[in-house]
Amino acid sequence: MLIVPLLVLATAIDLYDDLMLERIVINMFVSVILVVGLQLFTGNSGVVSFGHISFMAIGAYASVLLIMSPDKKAYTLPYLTGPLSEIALPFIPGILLAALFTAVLAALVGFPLMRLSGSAATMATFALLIITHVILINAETYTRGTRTMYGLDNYTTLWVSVFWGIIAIIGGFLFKESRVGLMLRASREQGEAAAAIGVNIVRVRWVAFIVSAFICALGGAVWAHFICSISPYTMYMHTTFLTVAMLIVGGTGSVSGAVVGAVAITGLFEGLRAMEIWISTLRIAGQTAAGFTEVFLGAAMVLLMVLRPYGLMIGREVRLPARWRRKLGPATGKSAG
Amino acid sequence: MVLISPRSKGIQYPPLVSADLTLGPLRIAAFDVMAMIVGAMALVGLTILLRKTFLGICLRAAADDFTMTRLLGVQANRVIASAFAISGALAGISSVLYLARIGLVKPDIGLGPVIIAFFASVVGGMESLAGAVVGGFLLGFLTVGLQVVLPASLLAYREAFTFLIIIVVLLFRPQGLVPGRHMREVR
Repeated sequence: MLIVPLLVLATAIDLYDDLMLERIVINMFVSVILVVGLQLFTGNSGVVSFGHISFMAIGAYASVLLIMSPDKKAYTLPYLTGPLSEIALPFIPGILLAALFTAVLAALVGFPLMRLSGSAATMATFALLIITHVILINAETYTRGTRTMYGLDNYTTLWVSVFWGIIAIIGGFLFKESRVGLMLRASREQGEAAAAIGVNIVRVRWVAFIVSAFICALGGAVWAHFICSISPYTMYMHTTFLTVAMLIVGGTGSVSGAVVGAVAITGLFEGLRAMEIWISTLRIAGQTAAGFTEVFLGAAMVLLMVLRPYGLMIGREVRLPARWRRKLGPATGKSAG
Repeated sequence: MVLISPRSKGIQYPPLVSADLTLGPLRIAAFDVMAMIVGAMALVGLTILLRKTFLGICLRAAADDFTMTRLLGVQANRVIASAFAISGALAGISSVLYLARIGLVKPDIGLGPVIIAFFASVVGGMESLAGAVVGGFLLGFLTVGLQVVLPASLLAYREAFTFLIIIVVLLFRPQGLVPGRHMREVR
C-alpha cells in the first residue's frame, strides 16, 4: 500500500546521503506518526482533537526521564530524586514505556470527555493541551520548566523514524478495520443508529483516544531523540495547528490521507523554503523574501481546501489496483473504507 | 510579515487614553471606561444588525438552515462572506482597544486573544450573541478570580485551573451556557 513508496523514499534518501535532506525526511516521518495518531481518533470518531500534541509532549518528556543516563540527569534535572533519577532504559523499552504511561494518563483524563461531541469536545481537547502545557512548564523537577531539556542521545536515525512510522501506519489501519474501529466509524456516521444497535459510543471513543495517545506519545519520544533538545514551547500551538492542518489537507477519513497530508505539507513547506532562500539571494529591489514560505503555504492550503474539501485523499485509502486484488484472491480484499 | 517585520513595533496612542477618572474613592482609567462604551456600542450595533436589517435576518437564517435559505433565494455565499467581513470589522475594533493596553504590535499578537475568543464563544453558547458575552465575562472572571483565590503555591497553575473549570462547564453544558433558540439534542 502506501508503505512501499515510503520505503522507496527512505532508501533513496539514505543512498543520496545528504544530511539536510535526511533531517527533513526524519522530521516528515515523525509528522507521519503524529498525524496518523491524530487520524486514529479524529478520523474515526468525527471529533476534531486539538489536544493530541499534549500527548506528544508528555511522551517526549517521559521518554527523557526513562532513557537519559543518571549522570546526565544529575545536571539537567538536579532536583530529581527517587527511582526516576537512577533509571536508564534502552531506547525501545524506554519509548514504549513512555507511550504506555501517556496512554494510561489519556485513559484517566479522557474518559469524562468522551461524552462530549462537536465543538464542545474539540474545545475540551484544546483545554487539555493548554493544561498540559502549563503543568509541563511548572513541573520543574521533572521537565526543567521553560528551559530547554538538552543532552538527549540521538537514537533516532532515518530508519528508526521510518520503522516507527510504518508501525504507526499499520496500527492506524488495523484499528480502523477492527471491530472497535468499525463501531466507532458507525457512531461517526449515524450516532443514534449506532447506539440503537448497541454500540457504546463513549467506550469506543475512549479506546480510540487511548490508542491515538499512545501513537502520538511514541511520535513525541522518537522526535525528542532526534532533535535532542526539547522544551514545552516546541510542542504546543504551532505544532498543533500544523498537525491538524496536515490531517485536514490529507483527508481525515483515512490513514492514507494522514500520510499524504504529512508528506504534502512537509514537501510544500520545504520546497517553498528553498524557493524563498533562492529568491532572497537575488535581492529583488534590495529585499529578502522573508515570510514567503508562510504566505504561500497558507495560500496553497486554502487552494487545496477549496479544490478538495474532503482532503487530498477524500477519505479513501491507497489500495492495490482492483485487478491485482482479484488475482491475489479474497484473502487480501478488505471492505471499502 | 513580508511587508512589515517579524519584530515588534511600538505604537503611540493619544494621551487621552492614559488619563484617569476619579469617582469618589475609585480611580478608574479613562481608557477602561472608553473600552466598555465602545464594546457596548459594538454589541448594540451588532444586535440591531442581526434583528432589524435584512442582512441580519439572512445571517440568522443561514445559520439556522443553510439549504432552506438558499432555496428561498438568498445568495448564501454573499451572506457568509458578509459575516466574515463583519467579524473582521469587530476584530479590528477590538485590536485597537487591545493594543492600547499592550503598546506594541507583532504579526502574531492575535493568537492569545483568539484562543480566549474560541473558548468564550463555545462555553457561552455558539448560537447566541449573549452567549459570547457571557463566555467572555466568565473567562475574565475566572482568570482574575483564580488569581485572588488560589494559594500561593498553586498560583503558577492558574491557567491550568481556569481551563479545568472550562472543561467542567462544558461537561455539564456542552451546548453552552446561554441556550440558543432551539434546544437541540447534543450529538
